[in-house]
Amino acid sequence: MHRTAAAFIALLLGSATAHAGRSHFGWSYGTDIIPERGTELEWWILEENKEGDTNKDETAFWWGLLFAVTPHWEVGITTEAQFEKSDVEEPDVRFTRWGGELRYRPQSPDPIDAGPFATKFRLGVKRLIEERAGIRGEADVIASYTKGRIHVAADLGVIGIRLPDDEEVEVRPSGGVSLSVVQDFRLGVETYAEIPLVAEDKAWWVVGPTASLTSGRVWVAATYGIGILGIRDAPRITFGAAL
Amino acid sequence: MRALVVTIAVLCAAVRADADGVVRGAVAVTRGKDVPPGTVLVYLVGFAEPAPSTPVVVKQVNKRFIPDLIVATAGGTVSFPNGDPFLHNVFSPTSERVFDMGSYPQGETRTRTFPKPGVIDIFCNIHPEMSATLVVLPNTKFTIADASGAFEIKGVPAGTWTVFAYSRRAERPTSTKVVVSDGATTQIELQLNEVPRDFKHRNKFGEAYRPSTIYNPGDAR
Repeated sequence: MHRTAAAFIALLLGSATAHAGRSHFGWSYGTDIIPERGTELEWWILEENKEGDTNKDETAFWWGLLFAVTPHWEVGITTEAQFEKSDVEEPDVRFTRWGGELRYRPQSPDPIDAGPFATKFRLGVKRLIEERAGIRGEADVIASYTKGRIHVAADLGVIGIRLPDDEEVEVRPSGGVSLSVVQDFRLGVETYAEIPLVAEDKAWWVVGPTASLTSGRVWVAATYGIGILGIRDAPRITFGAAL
Repeated sequence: MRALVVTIAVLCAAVRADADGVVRGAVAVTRGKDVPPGTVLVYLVGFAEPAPSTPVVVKQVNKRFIPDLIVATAGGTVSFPNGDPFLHNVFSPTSERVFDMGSYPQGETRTRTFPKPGVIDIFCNIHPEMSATLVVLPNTKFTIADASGAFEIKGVPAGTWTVFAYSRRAERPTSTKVVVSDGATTQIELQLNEVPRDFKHRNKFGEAYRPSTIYNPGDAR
């Protein structure tokens, strides 16, 4: 049993790694970028459990096809779906949004040439599938610092939704510390929060352990966010596969 | 073999003397009939020097890296211009310097810095036949032996150093100690045994290459 597990891990870690558009954290975006002309399928699954006064439960799915058009720019086409229920709402599953996004890394895509400090900027525009007159904008500024086995990242995200009779603005700060345990297998801690600025929803905040692995075509990162404020827990797994 | 080269290069102390000498000699290469002659590199380790500011250029022409034995000084850069009328994707899986330049077309160049001494495999993710070896050395005191094996390295600081001979098909690098004196020429002889090597490798994802008829649409252009 142990030998089988050890052999499997050795096989995973022994293969060449792809420095794709990966993140080392479940909730935060990373500063890595897909190699020029590369294509990657990225997928998130996230849960927000017992959120707010109405105990809202939400499971969301995000699929994106990302293309690296230059060594610094990525373009993505995304689709999102969501399950939601609460004390005051019936369970509901629906496609929520689709849209596009741009990701820009000003530094060299190579971690040695870029140096320890790297940034990435993300801008997304999403069409709301049910609210046909609405639009959602998303922006993130991500910064990371890598020194030896330690990787630190911070991500300041903002989303805004504009509807004919309503609007929402929410700040989404996150960040974490990740330690390389064996090559590209990393463990760490991550924090994430959603803070409504123009909306009736209440803020929530989680902190929890995170793990990530890059092997061959695939990278995966997962965080189990434990509620500190306004939520019970918020686990999330994100993975990407180079095509 | 590589570990030996890297370990020796890194562990040797960087003690710099003031005066210069010359190391001259010959490398006697033995090889089987089925081993094609290759480039023989001769280099000294034991001291460090800054890298030249100009990059080492490795062309990609006719699905080959030219040269296929590349030598650079630690801290220096190597540029990889694409001279073929189709895409190339230069990458290295070597753990000391993993990199992936992505795919870029004819006329474009990508550059990478190599901060530490080591021996690094260079491949193309699109063309499995493309293979090169980059030797990153701690100083600039290296040369390529001529067809007869003769070599000369000038400007060597006085001191006791180790001289290596290496080629891509070397069974292992060979070395000898050399004592260099101020203004003097030191004569040495080295022997190198070359063996068959096919340089087969996996792609940047650690997978076997797909057949080129499926994977290489750029060739049809």
